[in-house]
Amino acid sequence: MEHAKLEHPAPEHESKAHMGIPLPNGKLAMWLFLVTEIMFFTALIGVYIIIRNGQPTVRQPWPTPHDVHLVEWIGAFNTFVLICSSLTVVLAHWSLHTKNVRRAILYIGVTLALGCVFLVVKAFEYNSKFAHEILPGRIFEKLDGPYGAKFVRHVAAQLQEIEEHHPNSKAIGQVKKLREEIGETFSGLSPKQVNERIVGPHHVKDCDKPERSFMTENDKGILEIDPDLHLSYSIPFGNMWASCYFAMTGFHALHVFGGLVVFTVILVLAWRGLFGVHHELMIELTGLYWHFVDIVWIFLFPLLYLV
Amino acid sequence: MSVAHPAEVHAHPEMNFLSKYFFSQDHKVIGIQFLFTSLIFLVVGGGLALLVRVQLAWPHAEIPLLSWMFQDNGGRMPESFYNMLFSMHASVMIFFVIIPVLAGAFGNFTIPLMIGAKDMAFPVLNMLSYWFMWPAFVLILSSFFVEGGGPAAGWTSYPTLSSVAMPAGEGLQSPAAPNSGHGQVLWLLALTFVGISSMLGSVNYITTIINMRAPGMTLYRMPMTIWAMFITAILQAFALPVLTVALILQTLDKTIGTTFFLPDGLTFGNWITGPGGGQTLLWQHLFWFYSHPAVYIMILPSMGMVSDIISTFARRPLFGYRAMIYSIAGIAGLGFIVWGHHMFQSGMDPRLGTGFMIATIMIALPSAIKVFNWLGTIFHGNIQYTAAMLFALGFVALFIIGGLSGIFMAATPVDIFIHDTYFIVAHIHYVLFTSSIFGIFAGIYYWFPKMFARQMNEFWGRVHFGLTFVLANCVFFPMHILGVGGLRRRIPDITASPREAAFMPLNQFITISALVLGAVQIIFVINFFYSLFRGKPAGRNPWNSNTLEWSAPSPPPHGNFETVPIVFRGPYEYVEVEGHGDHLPQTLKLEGPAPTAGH
Repeated sequence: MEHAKLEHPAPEHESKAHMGIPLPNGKLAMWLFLVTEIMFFTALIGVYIIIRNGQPTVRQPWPTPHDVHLVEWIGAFNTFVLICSSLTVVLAHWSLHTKNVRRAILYIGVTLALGCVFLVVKAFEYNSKFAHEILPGRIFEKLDGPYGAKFVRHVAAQLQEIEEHHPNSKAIGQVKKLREEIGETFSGLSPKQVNERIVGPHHVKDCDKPERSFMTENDKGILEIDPDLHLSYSIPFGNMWASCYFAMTGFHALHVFGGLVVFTVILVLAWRGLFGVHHELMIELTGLYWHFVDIVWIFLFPLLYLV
Repeated sequence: MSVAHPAEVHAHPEMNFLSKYFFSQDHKVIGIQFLFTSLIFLVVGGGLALLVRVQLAWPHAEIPLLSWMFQDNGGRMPESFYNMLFSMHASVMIFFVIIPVLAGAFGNFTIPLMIGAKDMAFPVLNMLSYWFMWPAFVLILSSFFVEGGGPAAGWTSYPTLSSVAMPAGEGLQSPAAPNSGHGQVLWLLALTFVGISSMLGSVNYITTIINMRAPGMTLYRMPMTIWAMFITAILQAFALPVLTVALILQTLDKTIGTTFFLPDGLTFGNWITGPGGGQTLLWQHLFWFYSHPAVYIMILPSMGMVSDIISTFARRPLFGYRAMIYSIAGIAGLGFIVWGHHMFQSGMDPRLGTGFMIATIMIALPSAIKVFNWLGTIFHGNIQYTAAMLFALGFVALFIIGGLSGIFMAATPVDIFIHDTYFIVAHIHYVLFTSSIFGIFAGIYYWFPKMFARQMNEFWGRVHFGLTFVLANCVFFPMHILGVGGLRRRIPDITASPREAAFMPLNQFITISALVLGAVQIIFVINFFYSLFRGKPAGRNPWNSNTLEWSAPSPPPHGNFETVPIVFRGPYEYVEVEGHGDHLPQTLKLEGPAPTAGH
């Protein structure tokens, strides 16, 4: 009976090897893959929104970009770089579509370069976080109880370091004074007073205002005088901020890196003379992925740098 | 022979042993690889369950075989070891048995065969989806042996129990729970790999089902197995990435000092955790956003397979074919908006709980449609009581019990009373053991001839079913009574509280039944391996089934079909037609007016 089919071929189906939608398998799968990726970043961004709107209050607010050494214009520059690279990848696809292989290779090279620029800028940003110890679990965000004593000891060590290695700093007078006031037994000033000396009375968060301040309205904090010094200060929810920042931008950077690997493979193919118009679908799919990476950053930039 | 499609199936090059059985890109071999590894894990998970039962029934006795491990404790099981047992039992059964068997083994084996494709859309990706399971296998098994033992925070791994970590540089051993140190990290990484594997698989399945169907195989001619696999794959694609994020964030919490799931000011003994700011409930939301749909990932494929099996052996068209599809889609859709019903006791706003309650109870509707349709299919059927059919009927019968107890749990007022008692243990095992696993057994008995070209022994299959059916009810039904009586779950020694100690006789009855139930599965194992080598040779179509896989040779060669099959009819046209017996294969084209395949 199973041979019955052999006697009855259906003429209406002869032209089609199989049924489906008019979309190559690769393109369908890429869209499905992007669906899973969208859910991945949705979950990450959702975590950030929940945590950011969960516990912070007016007295104990979420860190501002200034608190965590985040520079808006650098983020904006990176956004611009990624948008440009999205354009060049489209131009590469168009060039290949119009059979101009050389120009397509050129545009892929430009895209690769722009992606590298993004990652290098990101690396400098990360480096500045490491230098200022804006890292999960390393930020002092509470100045009472055992955390406060720990904070004062940590600052005393940093002050000693500054006196030894940066004697020409503009704030060296304030540094020496603060170290003397803290004293050998670390009991001269309360942790909140130490924090106020460092960031200045205008930048102290409400929750970190000392009960008695020795500073007047006109006094400036050490970091206000010399922002390049490596001194710790209290950042309420700083650890949570750093956790979210590194998780979100870290996974985005990994995706950028993945795209760069594909572009490099394409360039290697081109260098060996194997790249041609038959790679149009591949370039289109790579472009889809690259646009997705770009769009994720367009969500991350305002969420982390602006609002 | 005027077939328009030249046979390309023999174009595959000769393969050596390694590329044929290990790094195979053939969907059937990959499916069988998934089947065998998952059955090995079924033994592991079952062994863990039996140890749990032994401890519960005789909490003060030495544990047979394992007492040498507990010499510090006088041969008795430490409580932390018990916590590890039930955590790992659930983790292994869910992530390493049921999901890989249903999606990995049956999904891989049936999808290309039943839609008339030569293979999956992406064979290499398919192979990778199996090999990405191996890091998970290694990680989960090694977690038993690391310092502190396996993870013990339950399969749900709720923070803070699971995720409190020591300050950076002081090791992973957690002061909150002795076993949630290294073992927990390995557990998190293992599940991440399972997630990657499932994600690769689901993208592949969806693409294959949409784009690789044989000519004439319209969406509404696809068997229910394929529909169920299709919708399951969509569930996985949408829900899994959220679990992946949750797993990664908990891993970061445990290793590099982030505090996504740890609030401020936790103290454990003399030790205060660092500043937190995270939210413990956030984990529960993320986890259940995946793990509730995962409940349907674990039952929908079984439902699809059971639909095919019931229709075949009742020799009747599936009652309400389209209603079955819509109800599966309905269950899947609702499955995304009900995760909160796992958290009624977490301090959730009651108004939100009401919403989750209503959505959850609505799932009873499509589930009931499916049950009635199965009953409608066997009504007036010419039922053949094969082992596969018996397990399918057992599925329907016991799924009703599991479904009904689910409605109890869904109602917030009732849930508050029975939350975290043995009632939920009874419910989950009625839907996962007596439903999902029964569906898996049915599927193995049904497709064994196609997989290995031999038939399993029907007599011993029926014995296996009879004993499993009775004993499973002996094990799981009394748990309802325990739960309503107030026996808490996850308690290693119920004699500690006199109220709970009164349940001891029933508890011992359950344990003895469970031990016998475990022993009965040996019948299946012997039958499986004996039939593999000595079973009665099966032809192409031993069950006279209509669907496409039975028109391929047994076992199907690499490439499946001699010629591209052309589909002319739906999958369930079991009707008497002059000269064709009682079934009309999907590839059969009849001259003249179409027979009434009426429902």
